[in-house]
Amino acid sequence: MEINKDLENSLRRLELLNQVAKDITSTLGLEPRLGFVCQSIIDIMGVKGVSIRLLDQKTNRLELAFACGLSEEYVHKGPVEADKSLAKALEGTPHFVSDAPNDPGIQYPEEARREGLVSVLSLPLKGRTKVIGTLRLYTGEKRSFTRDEIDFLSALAAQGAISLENARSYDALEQQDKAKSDFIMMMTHELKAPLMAVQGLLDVMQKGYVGPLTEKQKELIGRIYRRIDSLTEVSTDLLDIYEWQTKRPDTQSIPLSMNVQIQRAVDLFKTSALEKGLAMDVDLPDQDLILMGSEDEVEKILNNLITNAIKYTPKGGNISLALSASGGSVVFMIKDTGIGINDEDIPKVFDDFFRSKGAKKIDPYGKGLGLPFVKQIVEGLGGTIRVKSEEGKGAEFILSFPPSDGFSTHE
Amino acid sequence: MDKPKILIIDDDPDLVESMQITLEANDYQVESAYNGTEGLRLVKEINPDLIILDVMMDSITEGFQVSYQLRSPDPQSPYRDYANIPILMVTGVSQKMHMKFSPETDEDYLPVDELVEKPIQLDALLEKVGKLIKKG
Repeated sequence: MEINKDLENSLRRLELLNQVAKDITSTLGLEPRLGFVCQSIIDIMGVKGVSIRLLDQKTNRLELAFACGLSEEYVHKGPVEADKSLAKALEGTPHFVSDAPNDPGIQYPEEARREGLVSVLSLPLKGRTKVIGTLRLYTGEKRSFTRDEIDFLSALAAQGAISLENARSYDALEQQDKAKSDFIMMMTHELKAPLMAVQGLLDVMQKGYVGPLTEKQKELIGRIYRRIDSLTEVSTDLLDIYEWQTKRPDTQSIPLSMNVQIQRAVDLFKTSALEKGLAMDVDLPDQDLILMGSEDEVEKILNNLITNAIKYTPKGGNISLALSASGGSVVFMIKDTGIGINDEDIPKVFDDFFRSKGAKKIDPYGKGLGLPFVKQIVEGLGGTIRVKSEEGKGAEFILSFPPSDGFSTHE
Repeated sequence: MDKPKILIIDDDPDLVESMQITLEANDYQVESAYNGTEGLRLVKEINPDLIILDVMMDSITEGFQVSYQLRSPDPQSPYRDYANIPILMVTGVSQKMHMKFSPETDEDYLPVDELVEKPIQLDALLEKVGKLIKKG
Protein backbone atom coordinates (compact mmCIF):
# COMPACT_ATOMS: atom_id res chain seq x y z
CA MET A 1 0.00 0.00 0.00
CA GLU A 2 2.69 2.41 1.08
CA ILE A 3 4.71 1.69 -2.07
CA ASN A 4 1.68 2.29 -4.23
CA LYS A 5 1.08 5.60 -2.56
CA ASP A 6 4.71 6.61 -3.06
CA LEU A 7 4.55 5.64 -6.70
CA GLU A 8 1.34 7.55 -7.16
CA ASN A 9 2.89 10.58 -5.54
CA SER A 10 5.99 10.38 -7.73
CA LEU A 11 3.80 10.12 -10.77
CA ARG A 12 1.87 13.21 -9.76
CA ARG A 13 5.12 15.09 -9.23
CA LEU A 14 6.33 14.10 -12.67
CA GLU A 15 3.02 15.14 -14.19
CA LEU A 16 3.19 18.53 -12.52
CA LEU A 17 6.78 19.08 -13.69
CA ASN A 18 5.75 18.09 -17.15
CA GLN A 19 2.79 20.48 -17.07
CA VAL A 20 4.94 23.39 -15.88
CA ALA A 21 7.54 22.60 -18.55
CA LYS A 22 4.82 22.75 -21.19
CA ASP A 23 3.59 26.04 -19.77
CA ILE A 24 6.94 27.63 -20.53
CA THR A 25 5.93 28.35 -24.08
CA SER A 26 2.33 29.17 -23.28
CA THR A 27 1.03 32.70 -23.66
CA LEU A 28 -2.05 32.04 -21.56
CA GLY A 29 -2.79 34.33 -18.64
CA LEU A 30 -0.30 33.99 -15.84
CA GLU A 31 -2.83 33.87 -12.99
CA PRO A 32 -4.53 30.58 -13.86
CA ARG A 33 -1.16 28.91 -14.43
CA LEU A 34 0.27 30.07 -11.11
CA GLY A 35 -2.95 29.05 -9.42
CA PHE A 36 -2.65 25.58 -10.87
CA VAL A 37 0.97 25.22 -9.73
CA CYS A 38 0.27 26.46 -6.18
CA GLN A 39 -2.72 24.20 -5.74
CA SER A 40 -0.82 21.19 -7.11
CA ILE A 41 2.03 21.78 -4.67
CA ILE A 42 -0.44 21.90 -1.77
CA ASP A 43 -2.04 18.64 -2.91
CA ILE A 44 1.17 16.75 -3.60
CA MET A 45 3.24 17.97 -0.66
CA GLY A 46 0.41 18.10 1.84
CA VAL A 47 1.31 21.61 3.00
CA LYS A 48 -0.97 24.37 4.27
CA GLY A 49 -0.08 27.17 1.89
CA VAL A 50 2.15 28.26 -0.95
CA SER A 51 3.27 31.71 -2.09
CA ILE A 52 5.18 32.88 -5.12
CA ARG A 53 6.92 36.24 -4.84
CA LEU A 54 8.94 38.14 -7.41
CA LEU A 55 11.84 40.38 -6.57
CA ASP A 56 11.34 44.03 -7.43
CA GLN A 57 14.84 45.17 -8.41
CA LYS A 58 14.14 48.79 -7.54
CA THR A 59 12.74 48.42 -4.03
CA ASN A 60 14.45 45.11 -3.26
CA ARG A 61 11.10 43.89 -1.97
CA LEU A 62 9.37 40.66 -2.81
CA GLU A 63 6.06 41.38 -4.50
CA LEU A 64 3.32 38.80 -4.36
CA ALA A 65 2.62 37.03 -7.66
CA PHE A 66 0.29 34.37 -6.31
CA ALA A 67 -0.65 32.67 -3.07
CA CYS A 68 -3.01 29.93 -2.06
CA GLY A 69 -4.01 28.28 1.18
CA LEU A 70 -3.22 31.53 3.04
CA SER A 71 -5.63 34.18 4.34
CA GLU A 72 -5.91 37.56 2.60
CA GLU A 73 -4.86 39.17 5.84
CA TYR A 74 -1.65 37.16 6.00
CA VAL A 75 -0.81 37.57 2.34
CA HIS A 76 -1.17 41.35 2.58
CA LYS A 77 0.40 41.75 6.01
CA GLY A 78 2.87 44.34 4.76
CA PRO A 79 5.84 44.83 2.45
CA VAL A 80 8.01 41.74 2.31
CA GLU A 81 11.73 42.35 2.62
CA ALA A 82 14.25 39.60 2.08
CA ASP A 83 14.52 38.29 5.66
CA LYS A 84 17.31 35.84 6.47
CA SER A 85 15.37 32.91 5.10
CA LEU A 86 14.32 34.63 1.87
CA ALA A 87 17.80 36.11 1.44
CA LYS A 88 19.23 32.59 1.36
CA ALA A 89 16.72 31.61 -1.28
CA LEU A 90 17.55 34.71 -3.30
CA GLU A 91 21.18 33.69 -3.15
CA GLY A 92 20.12 30.45 -4.81
CA THR A 93 19.85 27.92 -1.97
CA PRO A 94 16.70 26.48 -0.47
CA HIS A 95 16.24 27.45 3.16
CA PHE A 96 14.20 25.71 5.79
CA VAL A 97 12.81 27.13 9.05
CA SER A 98 11.20 24.58 11.32
CA ASP A 99 9.46 26.91 13.77
CA ALA A 100 8.65 30.18 12.03
CA PRO A 101 6.81 31.97 14.89
CA ASN A 102 9.92 31.62 17.03
CA ASP A 103 12.62 32.08 14.44
CA PRO A 104 14.56 35.38 14.40
CA GLY A 105 15.19 34.91 10.66
CA ILE A 106 11.51 35.40 9.83
CA GLN A 107 10.20 38.90 9.11
CA TYR A 108 6.63 38.46 10.36
CA PRO A 109 6.75 35.81 13.14
CA GLU A 110 3.65 37.12 14.98
CA GLU A 111 1.55 37.05 11.81
CA ALA A 112 2.83 33.54 11.06
CA ARG A 113 1.70 32.41 14.52
CA ARG A 114 -1.75 33.93 14.03
CA GLU A 115 -2.06 32.25 10.64
CA GLY A 116 -1.16 28.92 12.26
CA LEU A 117 2.02 28.48 10.23
CA VAL A 118 4.82 26.41 11.66
CA SER A 119 7.52 25.26 9.22
CA VAL A 120 8.50 27.30 6.19
CA LEU A 121 10.56 26.19 3.20
CA SER A 122 11.87 28.93 0.88
CA LEU A 123 13.19 28.08 -2.57
CA PRO A 124 14.79 30.25 -5.24
CA LEU A 125 13.00 30.89 -8.53
CA LYS A 126 16.04 30.67 -10.77
CA GLY A 127 15.50 32.36 -14.11
CA ARG A 128 17.83 32.09 -17.08
CA THR A 129 20.50 34.36 -15.62
CA LYS A 130 19.48 35.24 -12.09
CA VAL A 131 17.13 34.48 -9.24
CA ILE A 132 13.87 36.32 -9.96
CA GLY A 133 11.91 35.51 -6.83
CA THR A 134 10.95 32.90 -4.29
CA LEU A 135 8.63 29.96 -3.87
CA ARG A 136 7.54 29.39 -0.29
CA LEU A 137 5.77 26.45 1.29
CA TYR A 138 4.08 26.79 4.68
CA THR A 139 3.03 23.90 6.89
CA GLY A 140 0.49 23.87 9.67
CA GLU A 141 2.55 21.52 11.83
CA LYS A 142 6.24 21.00 12.50
CA ARG A 143 7.65 18.92 9.70
CA SER A 144 10.75 18.58 7.58
CA PHE A 145 11.26 18.01 3.88
CA THR A 146 13.27 15.12 2.44
CA ARG A 147 16.13 15.63 -0.02
CA ASP A 148 13.89 14.16 -2.72
CA GLU A 149 11.11 16.58 -1.97
CA ILE A 150 13.47 19.55 -2.06
CA ASP A 151 14.98 18.35 -5.35
CA PHE A 152 11.54 18.02 -6.85
CA LEU A 153 10.48 21.48 -5.63
CA SER A 154 13.73 23.03 -6.88
CA ALA A 155 13.19 21.56 -10.32
CA LEU A 156 9.63 22.80 -10.30
CA ALA A 157 10.72 26.27 -9.19
CA ALA A 158 13.32 26.41 -11.97
CA GLN A 159 10.77 25.48 -14.63
CA GLY A 160 8.28 27.90 -13.13
CA ALA A 161 10.82 30.71 -13.11
CA ILE A 162 11.45 30.37 -16.83
CA SER A 163 7.73 30.31 -17.45
CA LEU A 164 7.36 33.49 -15.40
CA GLU A 165 10.20 35.16 -17.30
CA ASN A 166 8.52 34.27 -20.56
CA ALA A 167 5.22 35.67 -19.37
CA ARG A 168 6.97 38.89 -18.37
CA SER A 169 8.61 39.28 -21.78
CA TYR A 170 5.24 38.60 -23.38
CA ASP A 171 3.65 41.33 -21.24
CA ALA A 172 6.47 43.69 -22.17
CA LEU A 173 5.88 42.95 -25.85
CA GLU A 174 2.16 43.54 -25.47
CA GLN A 175 2.84 46.86 -23.81
CA GLN A 176 5.19 47.85 -26.60
CA ASP A 177 2.55 46.90 -29.12
CA LYS A 178 0.00 49.00 -27.29
CA ALA A 179 2.40 51.95 -27.14
CA LYS A 180 2.90 51.62 -30.89
CA SER A 181 -0.85 51.59 -31.56
CA ASP A 182 -1.38 54.57 -29.26
CA PHE A 183 1.27 56.46 -31.14
CA ILE A 184 -0.29 55.69 -34.52
CA MET A 185 -3.67 56.75 -33.17
CA MET A 186 -2.31 60.05 -31.90
CA MET A 187 -0.45 60.75 -35.13
CA THR A 188 -3.56 60.00 -37.13
CA HIS A 189 -5.60 62.45 -35.09
CA GLU A 190 -2.88 65.04 -35.51
CA LEU A 191 -2.97 64.50 -39.28
CA LYS A 192 -6.71 64.82 -39.53
CA ALA A 193 -7.02 68.34 -38.15
CA PRO A 194 -4.72 69.98 -40.74
CA LEU A 195 -6.35 67.91 -43.49
CA MET A 196 -9.73 69.31 -42.57
CA ALA A 197 -8.31 72.82 -42.51
CA VAL A 198 -6.79 72.34 -45.98
CA GLN A 199 -10.08 71.03 -47.26
CA GLY A 200 -11.94 74.01 -45.83
CA LEU A 201 -9.63 76.47 -47.55
CA LEU A 202 -9.88 74.57 -50.84
CA ASP A 203 -13.66 74.61 -50.56
CA VAL A 204 -13.56 78.38 -50.25
CA MET A 205 -11.43 78.65 -53.39
CA GLN A 206 -13.52 76.18 -55.33
CA LYS A 207 -16.74 78.02 -54.50
CA GLY A 208 -15.17 81.11 -56.00
CA TYR A 209 -15.51 83.13 -52.77
CA VAL A 210 -12.01 84.53 -53.25
CA GLY A 211 -12.33 85.21 -56.97
CA PRO A 212 -13.00 83.19 -60.11
CA LEU A 213 -10.76 80.22 -60.94
CA THR A 214 -9.27 79.34 -64.31
CA GLU A 215 -10.01 75.88 -65.73
CA LYS A 216 -6.46 74.78 -64.94
CA GLN A 217 -6.77 75.95 -61.33
CA LYS A 218 -10.04 74.06 -61.01
CA GLU A 219 -8.38 70.92 -62.35
CA LEU A 220 -5.47 71.22 -59.92
CA ILE A 221 -7.80 71.78 -57.01
CA GLY A 222 -9.65 68.64 -58.07
CA ARG A 223 -6.40 66.72 -57.86
CA ILE A 224 -5.56 68.11 -54.45
CA TYR A 225 -9.00 67.01 -53.27
CA ARG A 226 -8.39 63.46 -54.43
CA ARG A 227 -5.11 63.24 -52.58
CA ILE A 228 -6.67 64.70 -49.44
CA ASP A 229 -9.55 62.24 -49.70
CA SER A 230 -7.17 59.32 -49.84
CA LEU A 231 -5.26 60.62 -46.82
CA THR A 232 -8.51 61.13 -44.94
CA GLU A 233 -9.56 57.63 -45.90
CA VAL A 234 -6.39 56.04 -44.61
CA SER A 235 -6.61 57.98 -41.34
CA THR A 236 -10.21 56.88 -40.95
CA ASP A 237 -9.24 53.26 -41.64
CA LEU A 238 -6.38 53.40 -39.15
CA LEU A 239 -8.60 54.94 -36.50
CA ASP A 240 -11.25 52.29 -37.16
CA ILE A 241 -8.72 49.51 -36.76
CA TYR A 242 -7.27 51.06 -33.63
CA GLU A 243 -10.68 51.61 -32.12
CA TRP A 244 -11.65 48.04 -32.84
CA GLN A 245 -8.44 46.69 -31.32
CA THR A 246 -8.78 48.72 -28.14
CA LYS A 247 -12.51 48.15 -27.73
CA ARG A 248 -12.44 44.49 -28.67
CA PRO A 249 -11.85 43.11 -25.14
CA ASP A 250 -14.97 44.91 -23.87
CA THR A 251 -17.20 44.23 -26.86
CA GLN A 252 -20.37 42.37 -25.95
CA SER A 253 -21.18 39.49 -28.23
CA ILE A 254 -24.88 39.04 -28.87
CA PRO A 255 -26.68 36.56 -31.11
CA LEU A 256 -27.10 38.25 -34.49
CA SER A 257 -29.20 37.02 -37.37
CA MET A 258 -26.82 36.95 -40.32
CA ASN A 259 -29.89 36.97 -42.60
CA VAL A 260 -30.92 40.36 -41.20
CA GLN A 261 -27.36 41.73 -41.25
CA ILE A 262 -26.77 40.73 -44.87
CA GLN A 263 -30.14 42.03 -46.05
CA ARG A 264 -29.44 45.33 -44.33
CA ALA A 265 -26.02 45.64 -45.98
CA VAL A 266 -27.48 44.76 -49.38
CA ASP A 267 -30.20 47.41 -48.98
CA LEU A 268 -27.52 49.92 -48.11
CA PHE A 269 -25.42 49.25 -51.22
CA LYS A 270 -28.10 48.27 -53.76
CA THR A 271 -28.40 51.80 -55.14
CA SER A 272 -24.69 52.35 -55.67
CA ALA A 273 -24.43 48.93 -57.35
CA LEU A 274 -27.34 49.76 -59.64
CA GLU A 275 -25.92 53.17 -60.43
CA LYS A 276 -22.74 51.48 -61.56
CA GLY A 277 -24.73 49.06 -63.72
CA LEU A 278 -24.17 46.02 -61.51
CA ALA A 279 -26.70 43.36 -60.63
CA MET A 280 -26.77 42.27 -57.03
CA ASP A 281 -28.50 39.12 -55.88
CA VAL A 282 -28.73 37.61 -52.48
CA ASP A 283 -29.59 34.08 -51.46
CA LEU A 284 -30.65 33.75 -47.83
CA PRO A 285 -31.97 30.57 -46.19
CA ASP A 286 -35.51 30.58 -44.74
CA GLN A 287 -34.16 29.87 -41.33
CA ASP A 288 -32.22 32.56 -39.47
CA LEU A 289 -28.54 31.69 -39.09
CA ILE A 290 -27.09 33.12 -35.93
CA LEU A 291 -23.63 34.46 -35.30
CA MET A 292 -22.34 35.59 -31.91
CA GLY A 293 -20.75 38.99 -32.37
CA SER A 294 -21.43 42.70 -32.36
CA GLU A 295 -23.45 44.49 -35.04
CA ASP A 296 -20.64 46.93 -35.53
CA GLU A 297 -18.15 44.18 -36.37
CA VAL A 298 -20.45 42.31 -38.73
CA GLU A 299 -21.33 45.58 -40.44
CA LYS A 300 -17.66 46.37 -40.95
CA ILE A 301 -17.04 42.96 -42.49
CA LEU A 302 -20.02 43.12 -44.86
CA ASN A 303 -19.58 46.76 -45.82
CA ASN A 304 -15.94 46.25 -46.61
CA LEU A 305 -16.48 43.17 -48.77
CA ILE A 306 -19.46 44.63 -50.63
CA THR A 307 -17.69 47.95 -51.24
CA ASN A 308 -14.72 46.06 -52.70
CA ALA A 309 -16.96 43.93 -54.92
CA ILE A 310 -18.66 47.04 -56.28
CA LYS A 311 -15.37 48.87 -56.74
CA TYR A 312 -13.58 46.08 -58.59
CA THR A 313 -16.43 44.81 -60.78
CA PRO A 314 -16.82 46.57 -64.12
CA LYS A 315 -20.19 47.75 -65.43
CA GLY A 316 -22.56 45.00 -66.45
CA GLY A 317 -21.15 42.63 -63.85
CA ASN A 318 -22.81 40.74 -61.10
CA ILE A 319 -22.38 40.45 -57.34
CA SER A 320 -23.97 37.57 -55.49
CA LEU A 321 -24.17 36.98 -51.79
CA ALA A 322 -25.18 33.73 -50.17
CA LEU A 323 -25.64 32.49 -46.65
CA SER A 324 -25.86 28.84 -45.69
CA ALA A 325 -25.33 26.39 -42.86
CA SER A 326 -22.69 23.78 -43.47
CA GLY A 327 -21.71 21.13 -40.96
CA GLY A 328 -22.98 23.34 -38.15
CA SER A 329 -20.94 26.33 -39.33
CA VAL A 330 -22.44 29.53 -40.67
CA VAL A 331 -21.00 30.14 -44.13
CA PHE A 332 -21.21 33.46 -45.96
CA MET A 333 -20.06 33.88 -49.54
CA ILE A 334 -19.72 36.95 -51.68
CA LYS A 335 -18.84 36.46 -55.32
CA ASP A 336 -18.29 39.01 -58.04
CA THR A 337 -17.52 38.96 -61.75
CA GLY A 338 -14.86 41.64 -61.36
CA ILE A 339 -11.18 41.91 -62.21
CA GLY A 340 -10.21 39.08 -59.89
CA ILE A 341 -6.79 38.50 -58.36
CA ASN A 342 -3.89 36.71 -60.00
CA ASP A 343 -2.52 33.53 -58.43
CA GLU A 344 0.64 35.20 -57.26
CA ASP A 345 -1.26 37.89 -55.36
CA ILE A 346 -3.90 35.68 -53.75
CA PRO A 347 -1.79 34.81 -50.67
CA LYS A 348 -1.02 38.51 -50.15
CA VAL A 349 -4.47 40.06 -50.25
CA PHE A 350 -4.80 39.92 -46.47
CA ASP A 351 -1.42 41.58 -45.86
CA ASP A 352 -1.40 45.15 -44.54
CA PHE A 353 -0.89 47.73 -47.31
CA PHE A 354 -0.81 45.14 -50.09
CA ARG A 355 -2.51 46.19 -53.32
CA SER A 356 -2.60 44.13 -56.48
CA LYS A 357 -1.72 45.72 -59.83
CA GLY A 358 -5.31 45.36 -61.01
CA ALA A 359 -6.65 47.05 -57.89
CA LYS A 360 -4.19 49.93 -58.25
CA LYS A 361 -5.31 50.49 -61.81
CA ILE A 362 -8.92 50.92 -60.72
CA ASP A 363 -8.24 52.88 -57.53
CA PRO A 364 -4.73 54.33 -57.44
CA TYR A 365 -5.27 55.85 -54.00
CA GLY A 366 -6.46 52.83 -52.02
CA LYS A 367 -4.25 51.88 -49.11
CA GLY A 368 -4.74 48.14 -48.74
CA LEU A 369 -6.04 48.18 -45.18
CA GLY A 370 -9.59 46.92 -45.77
CA LEU A 371 -9.12 43.17 -46.27
CA PRO A 372 -6.50 42.75 -43.51
CA PHE A 373 -8.95 44.46 -41.16
CA VAL A 374 -11.80 42.21 -42.28
CA LYS A 375 -9.60 39.18 -41.63
CA GLN A 376 -8.75 40.42 -38.14
CA ILE A 377 -12.40 40.91 -37.26
CA VAL A 378 -13.46 37.55 -38.74
CA GLU A 379 -10.75 35.78 -36.76
CA GLY A 380 -11.67 37.73 -33.67
CA LEU A 381 -15.15 36.26 -34.04
CA GLY A 382 -13.61 32.80 -34.24
CA GLY A 383 -14.16 32.48 -37.99
CA THR A 384 -12.04 32.03 -41.08
CA ILE A 385 -11.92 33.84 -44.39
CA ARG A 386 -10.48 32.62 -47.67
CA VAL A 387 -10.54 33.78 -51.22
CA LYS A 388 -10.90 32.02 -54.54
CA SER A 389 -10.24 33.91 -57.69
CA GLU A 390 -9.26 33.75 -61.30
CA GLU A 391 -7.77 36.87 -62.76
CA GLY A 392 -10.20 38.62 -65.07
CA LYS A 393 -13.12 36.45 -64.04
CA GLY A 394 -13.95 37.56 -60.54
CA ALA A 395 -13.32 36.83 -56.91
CA GLU A 396 -15.13 34.93 -54.22
CA PHE A 397 -14.68 35.42 -50.50
CA ILE A 398 -15.83 32.61 -48.25
CA LEU A 399 -16.32 33.25 -44.55
CA SER A 400 -17.02 30.45 -42.15
CA PHE A 401 -18.01 30.83 -38.52
CA PRO A 402 -18.17 27.98 -36.04
CA PRO A 403 -21.53 27.16 -34.50
CA SER A 404 -22.14 29.33 -31.46
CA ASP A 405 -23.31 27.38 -28.41
CA GLY A 406 -27.04 27.02 -28.39
CA PHE A 407 -27.46 29.61 -31.07
CA SER A 408 -26.35 27.84 -34.23
CA THR A 409 -29.81 28.10 -35.67
CA HIS A 410 -32.93 29.92 -34.70
CA GLU A 411 -36.54 29.46 -35.66
CA MET B 1 -31.20 96.33 -42.39
CA ASP B 2 -27.96 95.31 -40.71
CA LYS B 3 -26.33 92.09 -41.78
CA PRO B 4 -26.79 89.30 -39.19
CA LYS B 5 -23.82 88.98 -36.87
CA ILE B 6 -22.10 85.63 -36.36
CA LEU B 7 -19.44 84.83 -33.77
CA ILE B 8 -17.10 81.93 -34.56
CA ILE B 9 -15.31 80.40 -31.57
CA ASP B 10 -12.70 77.96 -32.87
CA ASP B 11 -8.98 77.59 -32.22
CA ASP B 12 -8.01 76.59 -35.78
CA PRO B 13 -7.30 79.84 -37.64
CA ASP B 14 -7.58 78.15 -41.04
CA LEU B 15 -10.98 76.68 -40.30
CA VAL B 16 -12.09 80.06 -38.99
CA GLU B 17 -10.81 81.69 -42.17
CA SER B 18 -12.69 79.34 -44.48
CA MET B 19 -15.92 79.72 -42.51
CA GLN B 20 -15.48 83.48 -42.25
CA ILE B 21 -14.87 83.96 -46.00
CA THR B 22 -17.84 81.77 -46.83
CA LEU B 23 -20.20 83.50 -44.42
CA GLU B 24 -19.08 87.00 -45.41
CA ALA B 25 -19.56 86.12 -49.08
CA ASN B 26 -23.13 85.22 -48.13
CA ASP B 27 -23.93 88.51 -46.43
CA TYR B 28 -23.16 87.82 -42.83
CA GLN B 29 -20.97 89.86 -40.52
CA VAL B 30 -18.40 87.68 -38.82
CA GLU B 31 -16.29 88.07 -35.69
CA SER B 32 -14.03 85.36 -34.40
CA ALA B 33 -12.40 84.19 -31.18
CA TYR B 34 -9.74 81.53 -30.81
CA ASN B 35 -10.64 80.27 -27.36
CA GLY B 36 -13.59 79.99 -24.99
CA THR B 37 -12.69 82.90 -22.71
CA GLU B 38 -12.20 85.29 -25.59
CA GLY B 39 -15.41 83.93 -27.13
CA LEU B 40 -17.48 84.58 -24.00
CA ARG B 41 -16.10 88.10 -23.78
CA LEU B 42 -17.09 88.78 -27.38
CA VAL B 43 -20.59 87.38 -26.84
CA LYS B 44 -21.20 90.19 -24.33
CA GLU B 45 -19.47 92.78 -26.47
CA ILE B 46 -21.15 92.20 -29.83
CA ASN B 47 -24.30 90.28 -28.88
CA PRO B 48 -24.25 88.06 -32.00
CA ASP B 49 -27.27 86.56 -33.79
CA LEU B 50 -25.57 83.17 -33.91
CA ILE B 51 -22.57 81.45 -32.34
CA ILE B 52 -20.54 78.82 -34.18
CA LEU B 53 -18.70 76.86 -31.52
CA ASP B 54 -15.97 74.26 -31.86
CA VAL B 55 -15.92 71.46 -29.27
CA MET B 56 -12.21 70.86 -28.90
CA MET B 57 -10.03 73.88 -28.22
CA ASP B 58 -7.52 74.27 -25.38
CA SER B 59 -9.21 71.37 -23.66
CA ILE B 60 -11.10 68.51 -25.27
CA THR B 61 -14.45 69.78 -24.06
CA GLU B 62 -13.94 73.53 -23.94
CA GLY B 63 -16.81 74.04 -26.38
CA PHE B 64 -19.19 72.15 -24.10
CA GLN B 65 -18.20 74.32 -21.18
CA VAL B 66 -18.80 77.48 -23.19
CA SER B 67 -22.26 76.24 -24.16
CA TYR B 68 -23.12 75.36 -20.55
CA GLN B 69 -22.08 78.81 -19.41
CA LEU B 70 -24.11 80.54 -22.09
CA ARG B 71 -27.20 78.45 -21.40
CA SER B 72 -26.89 78.39 -17.61
CA PRO B 73 -30.33 78.32 -15.96
CA ASP B 74 -28.91 80.26 -13.00
CA PRO B 75 -30.79 83.61 -12.80
CA GLN B 76 -27.54 85.22 -11.61
CA SER B 77 -25.67 84.00 -14.70
CA PRO B 78 -23.66 86.79 -16.34
CA TYR B 79 -24.85 85.42 -19.68
CA ARG B 80 -28.59 85.36 -18.95
CA ASP B 81 -29.22 88.01 -21.60
CA TYR B 82 -27.47 85.87 -24.19
CA ALA B 83 -29.03 82.50 -23.37
CA ASN B 84 -31.29 82.63 -26.41
CA ILE B 85 -28.58 83.10 -29.00
CA PRO B 86 -28.66 80.01 -31.22
CA ILE B 87 -25.53 77.83 -31.05
CA LEU B 88 -24.22 75.76 -33.93
CA MET B 89 -21.66 73.29 -32.67
CA VAL B 90 -18.79 72.00 -34.81
CA THR B 91 -17.73 68.46 -33.91
CA GLY B 92 -15.33 65.84 -35.16
CA VAL B 93 -17.04 62.60 -36.14
CA SER B 94 -15.11 60.66 -33.54
CA GLN B 95 -16.09 63.09 -30.80
CA LYS B 96 -19.68 62.72 -31.83
CA MET B 97 -19.44 58.96 -31.72
CA HIS B 98 -18.07 58.98 -28.20
CA MET B 99 -20.42 61.60 -26.84
CA LYS B 100 -23.61 60.15 -28.34
CA PHE B 101 -25.42 63.43 -28.24
CA SER B 102 -27.74 65.14 -30.59
CA PRO B 103 -29.70 68.34 -30.10
CA GLU B 104 -33.01 66.50 -30.60
CA THR B 105 -32.53 63.63 -28.19
CA ASP B 106 -30.10 64.95 -25.60
CA GLU B 107 -31.15 68.53 -25.22
CA ASP B 108 -30.68 68.49 -21.47
CA TYR B 109 -27.21 67.20 -21.87
CA LEU B 110 -25.83 69.40 -24.60
CA PRO B 111 -27.45 72.81 -24.88
CA VAL B 112 -26.86 73.54 -28.56
CA ASP B 113 -29.33 73.95 -31.40
CA GLU B 114 -27.59 72.24 -34.26
CA LEU B 115 -24.46 70.27 -35.04
CA VAL B 116 -22.16 70.36 -38.02
CA GLU B 117 -19.58 67.67 -38.50
CA LYS B 118 -16.00 68.08 -39.56
CA PRO B 119 -14.89 68.19 -42.31
CA ILE B 120 -17.32 71.05 -42.68
CA GLN B 121 -19.32 71.06 -45.88
CA LEU B 122 -19.76 74.75 -46.67
CA ASP B 123 -23.22 74.32 -48.22
CA ALA B 124 -24.44 72.43 -45.17
CA LEU B 125 -22.95 75.11 -42.95
CA LEU B 126 -24.74 77.87 -44.86
CA GLU B 127 -28.02 76.00 -44.77
CA LYS B 128 -27.85 75.45 -41.01
CA VAL B 129 -26.76 79.02 -40.35
CA GLY B 130 -29.65 80.32 -42.48
CA LYS B 131 -32.17 78.15 -40.64
CA LEU B 132 -30.94 79.12 -37.17
CA ILE B 133 -30.79 82.84 -37.84
CA LYS B 134 -34.27 82.91 -39.30
CA LYS B 135 -35.51 80.98 -36.30
CA GLY B 136 -33.66 83.18 -33.82
